Amino acid sequence: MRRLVSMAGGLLAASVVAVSARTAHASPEDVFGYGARSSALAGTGTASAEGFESVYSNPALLPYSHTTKLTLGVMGAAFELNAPGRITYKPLTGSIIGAVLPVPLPGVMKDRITLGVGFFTPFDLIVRGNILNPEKKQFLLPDRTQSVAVQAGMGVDLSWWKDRGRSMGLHLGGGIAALAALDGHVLVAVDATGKIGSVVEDTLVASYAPIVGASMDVGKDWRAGIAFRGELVGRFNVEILVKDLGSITVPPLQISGIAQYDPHQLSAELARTTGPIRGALSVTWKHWSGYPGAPEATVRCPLNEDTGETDPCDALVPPSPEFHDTFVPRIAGEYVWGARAGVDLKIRAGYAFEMGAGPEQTGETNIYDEHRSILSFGAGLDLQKPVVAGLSLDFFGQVQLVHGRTHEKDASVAADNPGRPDVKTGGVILAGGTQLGVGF
Amino acid sequence: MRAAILASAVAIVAPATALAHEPWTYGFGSRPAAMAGAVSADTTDFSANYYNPAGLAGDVGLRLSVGYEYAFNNLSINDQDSGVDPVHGIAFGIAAGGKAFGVLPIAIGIAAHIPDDGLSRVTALREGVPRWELYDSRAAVLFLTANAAIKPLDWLELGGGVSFLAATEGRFEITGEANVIAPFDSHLRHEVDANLTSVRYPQAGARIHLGKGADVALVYRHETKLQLSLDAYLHGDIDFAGILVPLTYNLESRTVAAFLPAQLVVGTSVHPVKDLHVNADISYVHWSGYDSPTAKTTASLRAKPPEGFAIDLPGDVKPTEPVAPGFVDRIVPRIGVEWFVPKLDEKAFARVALRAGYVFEGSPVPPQSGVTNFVDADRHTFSLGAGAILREPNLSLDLHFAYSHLPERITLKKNPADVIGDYRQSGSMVSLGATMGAAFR
Repeated sequence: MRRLVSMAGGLLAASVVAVSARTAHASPEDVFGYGARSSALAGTGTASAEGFESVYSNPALLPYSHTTKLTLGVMGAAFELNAPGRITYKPLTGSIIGAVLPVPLPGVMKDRITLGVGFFTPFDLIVRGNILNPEKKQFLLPDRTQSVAVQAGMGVDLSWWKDRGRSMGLHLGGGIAALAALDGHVLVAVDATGKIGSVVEDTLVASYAPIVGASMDVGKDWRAGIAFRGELVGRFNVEILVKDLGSITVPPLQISGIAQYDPHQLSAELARTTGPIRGALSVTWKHWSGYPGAPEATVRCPLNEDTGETDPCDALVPPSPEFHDTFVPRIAGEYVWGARAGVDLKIRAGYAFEMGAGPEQTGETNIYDEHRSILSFGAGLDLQKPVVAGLSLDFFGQVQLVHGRTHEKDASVAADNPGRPDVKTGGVILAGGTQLGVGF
Repeated sequence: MRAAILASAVAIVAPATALAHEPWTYGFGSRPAAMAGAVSADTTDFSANYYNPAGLAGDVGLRLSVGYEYAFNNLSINDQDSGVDPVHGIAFGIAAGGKAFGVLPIAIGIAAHIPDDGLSRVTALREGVPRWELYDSRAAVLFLTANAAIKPLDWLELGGGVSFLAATEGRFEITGEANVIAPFDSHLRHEVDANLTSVRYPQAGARIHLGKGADVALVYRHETKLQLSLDAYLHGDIDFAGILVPLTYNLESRTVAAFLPAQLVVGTSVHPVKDLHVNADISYVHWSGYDSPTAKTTASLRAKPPEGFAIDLPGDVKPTEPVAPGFVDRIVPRIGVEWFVPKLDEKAFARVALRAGYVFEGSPVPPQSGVTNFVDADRHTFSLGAGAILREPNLSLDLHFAYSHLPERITLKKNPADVIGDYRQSGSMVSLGATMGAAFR
């Protein structure tokens, strides 16, 4: 008995010392858009993004930027989500850093290649990993926004004609998005003095996802774009091994799960990119059916070294979330008013309908992912010569209405399930931000 | 026998530390590493992000660099290898300069060193375990920095920015039933609520051009450390042959980790003759601010067995109060030279340079005569390198090699019954690497 109790204490102590669940995550940009202009336009940008925002929306659009530009900004969001009582989530506040860096090659390669980088950093953390037992009432969305967004990309201009000084034709681009994840090991064993000790090692690792895109100018005023973003998974996995306890055998414990997740996405857009009235119409497919769910099994069945296969066991297996693929239509418009030479004022608005990927929660789980209507608006000021060369200021606001629905439990669900007999969900998300860009 | 644990709640705030980084220990980029890091007044490429952000404004256009560095650590205690892992990874960065509003020279830079076997690796050890405190896992962490610089006057460049470290705090619960006889049939599950938090620390620098023959620099890097807190709570029942024994376990731990001392660097670069740069840096390193990495821990374990059922519990863990490490401040001198080979084929090469350097880092660790065993020794580093810049296209390749000698140091314990006893420590390090660059102006 003493050994068993000691084991529990040692295991806890080891975990305390070591199980630093350094998770990573994906995407505030998936929820709000990336940058103040794209966010004001309901997340459109596959054919219409400008500046560093192209790194996420479509790296193929980077070569349209011919000036080195640094952009700094801030944004925030608040969540009012109910099921039916309010579930408290921490507001999001963070900073935006973006840069476009045209590569000044000579000759035919002039203005053909542009690099871009973009960061969004919550003020007080890098990533949040909140994995709750599935029967607890929870919305997936708020914690998904609590993460750093890191992207870098390059675009190549393959155009073959010019119109009003603009390169027209095919542009290609590619880049990566990155997350951090944790891989760790904790060994709990008896030391030379007979006491439970531990050795801890954890490693912060990176996970990456590709972003590739293409755009094609259609006539003088229109552009079509397509972009693919790969699955981005922020997973942590800390294995706790307990040894040297005589006849007592403890299985390896896996403190693991998916802390942040962005599915494969394919986005297509048609945009009017010149003239006083501009706009974009897009649709995005998101492969949410590939979402494995946040929790992973704590105890896993052992591997049979003779057969190379897993032996059957009675360990608990987390339920599949049964998410399904979604489509997100977006529409946005921008009015550009040339107030005077070198001064452009821009008014923006947009709408998107983000389908919820989660099914009705009729079983033991209470994980809510609902449809949202995203209403966005914003404004921008671009200053050029002869006023001031290369200065821009942008604002955006978003109201995301979470469409409620009723989750009615099956009769077989446990009586103490917090979702019985039914739960009516709903809520609203408010977001806003601003950014300042300086060209040089 | 079948024993089961009905553990209902384990709440943990766990420290995950990121310690020092490779630029601190082995240099950042091959050119600075070949000159022993004595470049605070003589750098304008991506390495300026670390050595002196003001240098970013010293050039125009776009400069991209990427390199790979590998360091072998041959550190031993009592002539036995201490197993300090090699450190290796990719260093890369961007420096871009131009004129804001068409008038003010301005530049930005981003740089990182990413270990190629993980962004960071941390091993937690007890206070008394001998470890090479400044080198064992300290360098195997991510370094990321972003900076901006301006040149308000022809003779003055100013720059600054932030660097980042990452730490973790969180909580997890394990609930369910552990089957000791058939462990893989255990019905256990877990919850996690963890944050990877960011710690940002600033750096700033200035560079003054005293004419064509000399530059001076002043750089400040702020101290950083992670205050990590940890709370654990368990309550549940132990099912022993049908007898349920309520159990509680409480633990509190507070840790300071990832300490980087504040540094003030004064540097100069003089050009006594054409094609020769002689650089010298003097760094004041505020090691006396070093906090013990040992966790301050209190813990208690309680069980309430039913009458007539006796169990033997271990006593409470005594509160851990780490011994103050007592590190002392140090002055670190560095010298580096760079000689540009004359009379080259100027059509092909813009410049070819040979470089060398030396740095002495006195150990800040006091004699370890008590319970702690922070192993360290003075460090002499000799470095060599070469670089070539092609004229068209404007590409560069730099190579470096450095050897560090850590002379023997003897640790004598006051207590003859000390578990670890007296020991000798010494060692050497070898690092090498290459950096490629491209400049577009």
